[in-house]
Amino acid sequence: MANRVAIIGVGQTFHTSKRPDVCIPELCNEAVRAALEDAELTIKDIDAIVVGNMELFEGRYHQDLWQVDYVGSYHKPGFRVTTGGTTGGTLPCTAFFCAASGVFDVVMAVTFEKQGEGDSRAALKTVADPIWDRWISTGAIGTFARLGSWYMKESGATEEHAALVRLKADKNACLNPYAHLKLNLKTVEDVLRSEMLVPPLRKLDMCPTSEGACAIIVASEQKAKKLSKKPVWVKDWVEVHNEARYNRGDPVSLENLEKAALTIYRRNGITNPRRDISVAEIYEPATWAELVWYEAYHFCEKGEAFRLVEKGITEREGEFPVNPSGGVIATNPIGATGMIRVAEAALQIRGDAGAHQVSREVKRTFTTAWGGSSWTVAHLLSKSVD
Amino acid sequence: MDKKASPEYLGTPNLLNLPFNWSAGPYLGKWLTELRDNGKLWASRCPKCQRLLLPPRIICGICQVRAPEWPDWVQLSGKGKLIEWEKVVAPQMNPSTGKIEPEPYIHGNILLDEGVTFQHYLEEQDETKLKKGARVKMVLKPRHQREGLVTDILYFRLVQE
Repeated sequence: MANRVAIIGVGQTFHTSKRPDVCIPELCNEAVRAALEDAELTIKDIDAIVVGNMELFEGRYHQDLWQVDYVGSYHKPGFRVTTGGTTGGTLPCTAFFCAASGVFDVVMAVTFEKQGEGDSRAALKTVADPIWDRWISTGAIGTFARLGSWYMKESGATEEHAALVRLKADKNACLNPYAHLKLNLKTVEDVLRSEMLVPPLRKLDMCPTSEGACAIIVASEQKAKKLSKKPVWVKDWVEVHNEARYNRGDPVSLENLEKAALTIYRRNGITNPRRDISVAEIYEPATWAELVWYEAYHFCEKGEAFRLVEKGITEREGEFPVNPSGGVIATNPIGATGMIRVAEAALQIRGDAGAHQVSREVKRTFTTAWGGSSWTVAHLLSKSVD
Repeated sequence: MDKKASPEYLGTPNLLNLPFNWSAGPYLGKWLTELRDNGKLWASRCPKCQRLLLPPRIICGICQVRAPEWPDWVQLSGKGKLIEWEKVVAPQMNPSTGKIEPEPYIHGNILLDEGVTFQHYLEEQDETKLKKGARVKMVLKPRHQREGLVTDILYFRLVQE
């Protein structure tokens, strides 16, 4: 039987498109110091450190070695995790495994991306099989444009609904001191005026490329109760991996997202997600993904996600807030993005999210990360230990 | 010296240029050899769930059973129908060469008649002539130009059937 574990500290840097004022390990150091300060601990209290980011984005090998001085892993155990777009979702799972196993009492997870230092689009193309289909891969924009046109046809949603998702993201991001894009968008027209990339996908439908870092501190039950006034309990987590094939012939692939959510729901007695979960922080790299994935995560029936948005149900003040932080559409330091969802959810449970704290009482949160070949990671956090 | 002046942030530019040579292995390797030498397209088949595996591989990842080796494969006709296509208008780098591909170009997702999907360039560059479900067939490069690469297939051509 695994030990119960809790998140006892979180830290983030602010996000922007370029941070020429710091090198990679210095960026990580900012997040580490913020997390230690939040937990009221020092680096001496940390038993092991796990780190993670995307491969190739910054063109530097063995990032964990270069980070030793700056994240405090000198003479401490730990390892680096890199699972593509889900890296930031897998990394907290790694810290949970370490503490739940009883091998370590207090584990810190540190993740970052510094996309302005490389060419993310070129790096992403190397995800595909080098012999089979790398030469034909076109990356994320085509994927989300196809998702948008498929969803419009399936559900009757319009481009205005995608624009409403962007407005919600922007309104929330403007309240979040760590968010990247804060555009002060006022109307649907403000979004619809943005440049068309591949119809129906506009520039403002997509996430930006961001630089930033995030750290969380995870402790075993005994240590968490001793060290922390506001531990956030980790109830469950799941990683869904499938065959590494991009071309399965379906216009959209929702199987993994659905499996991740349903596994978490089944194991934790969640029968009505909007009632049983207080806040969701999901990995949504595009407006259309947010809409379609509401349905994949069973937040509503098929074909109804755009109605939720129309009615404002997923607004920060709504019945079921989704991404009160502004989400990935506003901020996307890819390797860190999944873990920012977890950090933000922990802040919401503690009531410490500040200006973007939701108005409803937060008991349980659902967070996800998503990446290549539709891999999906999900976590369930809780205010109470039981 | 003006101490109030904003600091200068220096960076070091670099273009990574490393040679690689990835082994295709016996399954995909045989597939590429057959394509190059005989102009034939094959897929392996899972003995349990019976689905075709393309690219051919040693294992069905879902059933976790071993798939037979060539020649116990299924030969594909190279004919099928267009499921969807994408017109690429933004400059795309070919990650094998680091060079930007000439654009625009159209690539499509094709459901081969044997029931397995395959992605490739389309010959037709006029999007108005493309329709979902349109019949297409594989066109190979001439034998002497084939190198044992997937791109030994030149493109898929619209056909009337």
